[in-house]
Amino acid sequence: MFGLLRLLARFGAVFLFLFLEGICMYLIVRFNENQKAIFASSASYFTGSALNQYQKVTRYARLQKQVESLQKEVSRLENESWKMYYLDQAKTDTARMRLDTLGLVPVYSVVEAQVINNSVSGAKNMLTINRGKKHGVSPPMGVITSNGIVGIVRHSTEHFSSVMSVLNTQTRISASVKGKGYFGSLVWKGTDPRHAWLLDVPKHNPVHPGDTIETSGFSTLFPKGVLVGVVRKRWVPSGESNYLIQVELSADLTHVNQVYVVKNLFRKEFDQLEQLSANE
Amino acid sequence: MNNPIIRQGLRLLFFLLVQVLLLKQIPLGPIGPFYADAFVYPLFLLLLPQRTSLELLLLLGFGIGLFVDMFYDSWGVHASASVFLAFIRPGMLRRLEPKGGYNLNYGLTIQRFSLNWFLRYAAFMMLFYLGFYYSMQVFSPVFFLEIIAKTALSFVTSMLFILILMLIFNPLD
Repeated sequence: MFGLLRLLARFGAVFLFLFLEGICMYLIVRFNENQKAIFASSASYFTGSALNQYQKVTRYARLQKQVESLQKEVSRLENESWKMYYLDQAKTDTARMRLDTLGLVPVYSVVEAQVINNSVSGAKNMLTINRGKKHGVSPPMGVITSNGIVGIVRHSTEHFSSVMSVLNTQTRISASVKGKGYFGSLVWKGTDPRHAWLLDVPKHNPVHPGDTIETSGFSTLFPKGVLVGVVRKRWVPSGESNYLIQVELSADLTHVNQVYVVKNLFRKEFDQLEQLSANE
Repeated sequence: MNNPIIRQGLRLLFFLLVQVLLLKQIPLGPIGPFYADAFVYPLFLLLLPQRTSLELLLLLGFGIGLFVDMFYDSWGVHASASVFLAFIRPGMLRRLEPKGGYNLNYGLTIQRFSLNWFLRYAAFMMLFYLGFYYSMQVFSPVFFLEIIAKTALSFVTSMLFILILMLIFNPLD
C-alpha cells in the first residue's frame, strides 16, 4: 500500500498526463469526422488482414473435408439438376423430351463462396462471404450448403457480402414438412446454435418427431426442397392453435465453410408480379 | 492587480480572447497549398512561474485546450496538444537552464531572463506544440509532409504574434 502511494507520488504527473491524453484521444476519435474515419479504417484494415491470414491457415486444415463435401455436392447437383430447370415451351409430349431441343431455361443458378467470418454466439449472428456484386450476389438471396440452409444475403459490396444467419433472431424463412406440404416460419430464439423453431403450423396437421423439414419454395430466396433439418420435439402450447416445433438444423453453422449463394434468375419478374398484385 | 492568481487569470482570459476572437477569424494564407494558423494561447503555459507543479500545468493545459477546442470545433485536438506542451515543460526548462540557475518564483519572461533565452525557449516549445497539434489534426502518418509543412508555416506566424505580444506588454512575471 505504502509502495503504491510512493509510486503515485513519484509518477502521479505521468499518470495524469496519460489519463488526460487518453481523454483527448477519445474526444478526437469520437467527435471529429476526419479522425474518426481514419481511426475506423485503420482499425478495420488491421483486423481485416488478420482475419484473412487466419483464414488462410485454417483453410488448409479443412481442405480434405472440403474436397469430400464438394464431390458430394457435385454428384447431388448432377442428380437433381432437373429440379432447377423450368420448361420454357409448354410441350406435353414427354416421351420425346430432350434437354437440348426443348429450350430449358434455368430458374436458379448458384455462386460458390467461402465463409470468411462467422459468429454463432450472439443473438443476431452474421456471416461474411467472399462473393459480392462483382459475382452477381446482391441482397436478398438465399445461402445454402450441401446439407442445409445457412442464411440470407443482407448487404453486398464489390467483393464481399454479409449474410444474416439462420441463427439470427430476425431471420424468418418459410419452411414445410417434407412430403406433406404444410408450412410455417422457421425462426431462431437465440442461445442454441443446433436448433431452430418452426412456428405457425396449424395443430390439426400431423407432425411427428423425425419428419424432415425442407424449404417451401414460397419465396424467391430458396428453391423448393432444400434440406433444413429434422423435427426433434413438437407440442401445442396451451391455448394456442399452432404447433411449436423444435427443428434440429442439418447444417452445422458452427463449422460452415463452403457455401452456395442461390440466385433466382426470375426474381425481377417475380418482384414485378408481386408489385402488380400489391398495387391493385 | 497584486494578487498573482487574479493577474494570471486576467492574462489567460486575454490570451483566449485574442485566440478565438482575433486569430481564429483571420485566414493566413494560402501559402502554397496550405493555410497557416497562429496560436498565442500556449504562451500562458509558457509564462507560468517555474514552481508551478506539473499536475497543475497538465490540468490547466487540458482545460484551456478544451476551451479553445469549443471555438475551433475540434474536440480534443487542442487539448491533447496543450497537455503535451505542459508535460514537456519541466524537461525543456532543465535543458535550457541558464548559468545562474532559476529563481523558482520568477515567471519565465523576457524581463526576468533575456530576449535571447526567451526566444529559444518559446521556439522549442512552440515547435513541439505545433508538431503535436498537427499530428493530432491530420491524424495519420501518411500525411507526414503535410504535418511538417503546416508546422513550419504556423511556427513562423505563431512566433511572430508571440513576440509582438511580449514586446508590447513585456510582463515582469
